[in-house]
Amino acid sequence: MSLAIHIEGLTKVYRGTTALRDLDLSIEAGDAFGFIGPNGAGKSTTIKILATLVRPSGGRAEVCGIDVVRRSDDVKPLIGYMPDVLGIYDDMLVGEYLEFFAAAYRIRGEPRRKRIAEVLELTELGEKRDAPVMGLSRGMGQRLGLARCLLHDPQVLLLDEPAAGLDPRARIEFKELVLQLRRMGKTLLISSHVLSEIGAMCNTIGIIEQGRLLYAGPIDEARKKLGAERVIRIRVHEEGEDDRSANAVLDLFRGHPDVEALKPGGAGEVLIRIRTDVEDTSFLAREIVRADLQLLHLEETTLSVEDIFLHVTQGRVA
Amino acid sequence: MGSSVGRLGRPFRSLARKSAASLAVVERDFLATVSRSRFVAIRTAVAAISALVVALIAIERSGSERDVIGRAIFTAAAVVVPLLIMLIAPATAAPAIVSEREGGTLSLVLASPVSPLAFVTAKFISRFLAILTLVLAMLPVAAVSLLYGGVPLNAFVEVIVLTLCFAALGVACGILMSARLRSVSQALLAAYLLAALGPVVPTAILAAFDQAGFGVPAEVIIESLNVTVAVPFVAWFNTLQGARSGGHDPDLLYWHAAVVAGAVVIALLLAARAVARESTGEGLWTQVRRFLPGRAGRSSGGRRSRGVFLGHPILDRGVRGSLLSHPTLGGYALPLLGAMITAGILWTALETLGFNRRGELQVAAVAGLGILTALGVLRVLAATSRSIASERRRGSLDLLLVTPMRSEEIAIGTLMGALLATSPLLGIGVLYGGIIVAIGGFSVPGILGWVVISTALLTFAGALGLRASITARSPTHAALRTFGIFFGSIAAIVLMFFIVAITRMDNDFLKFVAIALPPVLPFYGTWALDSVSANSSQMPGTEQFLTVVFAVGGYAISAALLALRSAAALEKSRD
Repeated sequence: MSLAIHIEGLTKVYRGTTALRDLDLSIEAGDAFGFIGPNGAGKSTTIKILATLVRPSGGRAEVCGIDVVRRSDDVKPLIGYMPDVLGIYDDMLVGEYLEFFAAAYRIRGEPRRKRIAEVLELTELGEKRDAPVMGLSRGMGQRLGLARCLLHDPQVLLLDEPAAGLDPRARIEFKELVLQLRRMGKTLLISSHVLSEIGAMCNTIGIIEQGRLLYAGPIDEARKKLGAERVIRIRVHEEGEDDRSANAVLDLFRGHPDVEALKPGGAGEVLIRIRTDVEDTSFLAREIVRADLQLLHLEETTLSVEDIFLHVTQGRVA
Repeated sequence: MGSSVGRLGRPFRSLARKSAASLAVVERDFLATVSRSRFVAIRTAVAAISALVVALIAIERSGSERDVIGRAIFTAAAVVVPLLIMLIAPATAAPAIVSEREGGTLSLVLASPVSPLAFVTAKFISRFLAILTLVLAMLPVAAVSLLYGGVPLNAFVEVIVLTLCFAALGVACGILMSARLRSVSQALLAAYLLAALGPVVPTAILAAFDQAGFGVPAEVIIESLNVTVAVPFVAWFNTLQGARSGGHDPDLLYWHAAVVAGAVVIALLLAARAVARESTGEGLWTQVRRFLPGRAGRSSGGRRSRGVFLGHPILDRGVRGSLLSHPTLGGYALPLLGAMITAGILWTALETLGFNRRGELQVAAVAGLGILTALGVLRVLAATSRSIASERRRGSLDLLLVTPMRSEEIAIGTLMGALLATSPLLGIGVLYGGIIVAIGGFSVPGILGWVVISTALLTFAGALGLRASITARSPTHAALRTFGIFFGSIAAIVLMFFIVAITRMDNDFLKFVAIALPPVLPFYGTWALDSVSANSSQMPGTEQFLTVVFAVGGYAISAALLALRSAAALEKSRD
C-alpha cells in the first residue's frame, strides 16, 4: 500500500512553546486514522501543518508523497480540511456556500453544478440547498462542512474534532457518513475526544501527548502491545439460586491448559481468562453444551480505545 | 407611625439603590471610554490641529482685518466642531451595549438591580460626557474668534448648544443601534446611517454654500424640503446665518433642541425595550429584519441559491459582505437623498432668485463631492477592516487558505470587492456633479478628476483597512482601529474649510503637504482640475494640477504596496 501521509521529525514551536516534538507518523492510503490526545497535545497543529495552514519549525510532512511546505499549491487539491469550527457565512444559503467554495477550488460550469449535486446527495442535504446556512443545526452544519471538504474530490480528509458538540443521533449519522467515505477509498485523519467514536470509525490510531506521539498503528496491535488480558464472559441458565450451573462451568474449565484463571461473576456468570496466544475460543461453547448446560451468553471482552488511551498516556507503552 | 414612614420611604430607598447602581455603570463606562488611548489621541489631535490651523491663519492675516479673521475662524469652527461631533458621537456610543453583549457581561449587569432603562440611560450619560470632553477640547479654537472680535457672544453660545444637540442625537442613535444589533461593526454602521450620514451630507454642503456667500435664504430651503427631515441642518444653517449677519431666528435652534431631546428619550426607551427583550428572543429589529430582502435569518422562501455572480469568489464575497448585508439603505440612500436635496435646493434657488455665479457654485460642488469621498472612505474602511478579521473569527479564513487561491488573490479580491460595493457613491457624485454641470457651474473634466482622485483615495483607505483587518486581534479591534485611523485623519477636515488660505500659503512644501491630506485632496484636486479645464485665472493653475497628480499617484502606489504587504501578512500567519 502507498502512503497517504508521511511525517518525519515534525516539530512546531510557537513563541517559545513547543507544540510538536519530533513527530514521526505514516498513514497508508485508505486508512481511517484516529488521532487522539488531550487538549493542547498537538493534534490540531499536526492537522493544520498537513492542511498547509501552519509552517512547521522543523521536520517534513508529505501528503501523497508531496511536501506540504515546498509544494503547498500541489497539496491543496489533494486534501479536504474540516476544522473544529464550522466556518460558515451567515448570510449565505447552503447552495451558495458550496458554490462559493467550488469557485475557490476552481471548479467551473457544468462540473461545478454536478459536483455540488453529488456532495449534497452524499451528505443528505439536498433538501436544504436553499436553506440559510445560519439556520442549520450543528449536525447539519457538520455535514455541510463535510460536503464542502468533498467538493474537489480530495484523496485525504483531515477532520479536526468532527464529532464535537453533536447530539447522539447526529453523531451516529456522522459516523455512518465517515464509514461511507472509507468505503469510497478516502484516507481519513480524524482527531476526536469522543474515543468510542474513534473506535467505531477508524482502523488505526495515533496517541499524542504534549507534542509527542506515544503510539501509532492498528487498534488491534495496540491491544496486543499492551499485553491485554483476554477475558471471556459466560452466562448459563440457573434453575435455583445456588449457582449450581455456574459452579459446574468453573469445574469444567479448572485446570484446562488454555485457561489461565477463572472466577464466578454472579447470577449464572463466569469470567474465564484465557492465554493470549489462544486464537480459537470455540472450545468453551462446545464443552458447556457437551456438559448439558444451557449456554445463554458468551462474549470476549477486549480493551476499548478509551482503555488503550488511558494505558498509553500513562506511559505504559514504550 | 414609624412603619408607615418606612413604607413611604421604601420607593425612595429603592430608587436611591437603583440610582447608585446606575451611577456605578456611568462611572465605569465614562472612565473606560475617556481613558482609552485612542480617545485621548483623537482629543489631542483635534485640539492640536485646530490650534495649529488657527495659528497659521493668524500669522497669515493680521492688522486691520481682525474682525474679518474673527468671523472666518468662528464660521469655520461652527462648521467643523458640530461636524466632527456628529461623526464621532455615534462611533463612541455604538460599542457601548453590543460590546457588553459580545463579552458576555450584559447578562451579568441585567441580573443586578440595574434596570434596562437605567442601564441604557447610564450608557447614554457616560458616552455623552465623554463626547463633552471632546467639545471642551475644541472650544478654545472657537473661542479664539472672540479675541479677534466681530462675533457676538450669543452666536458662540448657540454653536455650543447646537453641538451638544448633535452630540446627544449621535450618542442616542449609537446606543439604540448598540442595543438592537449583534456586532460592534453592525452597530457602528447603523448608528452612522441613522445619526450622521443623513444630516452630514446636506448640512456640510449647505454650510459650504453658506461659506461661499451664496446666501440661500432659509425660506427657500424650508419650502424645498420636508421640515422634519431638515431640522438638523436647518438649525445649523440658521446658526451659521446668525454668526454671519445676526439675521436669524434664535427660536429655531431651541425648537431643534426640543426635538433632539424628544428623539433622545424615544431612542433610549426603544433601546431599553431591546435590552429588556435580551432573554426573550426576538426584538423589534429582528422581526423587521426578517422581512427585509437579503438578510440573514429570514425565511429563504422565494430566493434560490445562485452561483458566484462576479466571476471570482472573493470579489463576490467582498461585495456581498459590504453591500447586500445592508440592503435597506446600503449606505447610499441617505447620501443620495442629501445630494439630490442639495442639488434641488440649488436648482430652486437659481430658478427663484436668478443666481448665476460660477465660482460659488464650484465651491458648493466640490464641497458636496468631497463629503461623498469622505463617506466613501468611511465605508471602504468599515468594509475592509472587518473583512479578514471576521473571516478569522468565524473560522472561514482557514477554509479559504486551504483552497488553491493565493494570499494575494484573497487580499486584492477583498479590496476590490469593498471598492465595488462603494462604487455607487461615486455614481451619486457623478449624478450630483452632472446637475451642477447642467446648471453651468462646473466642468465635465472636474467631475472625472473627482472620480479619479476619489478612486485613488478609496483604494488607499481600503488597503489601510485591509492591513488593519489582517493584523487585528478581532473584528471589533479591527473596526475600532480603523475608525481611529479615520477620525485621526478627519481632524484634517479642519483644513478643508481653510482651502482658500491653503491656496495662498507661501511655503510650497507645507502647501503640498496640506493639499495631499486625504480630506483636502478631493476638494482641492477637483477644484484644480475644474479650474485648469475652465482656464480660470483666479483658480489653481497647472502647477497645482501637477501637485494633485503626484498626490494621487502617491496614494495609488501606497495602496498597491499596502495590499501586497497585507497579502504577505496573510501568508506570514502560517508561521
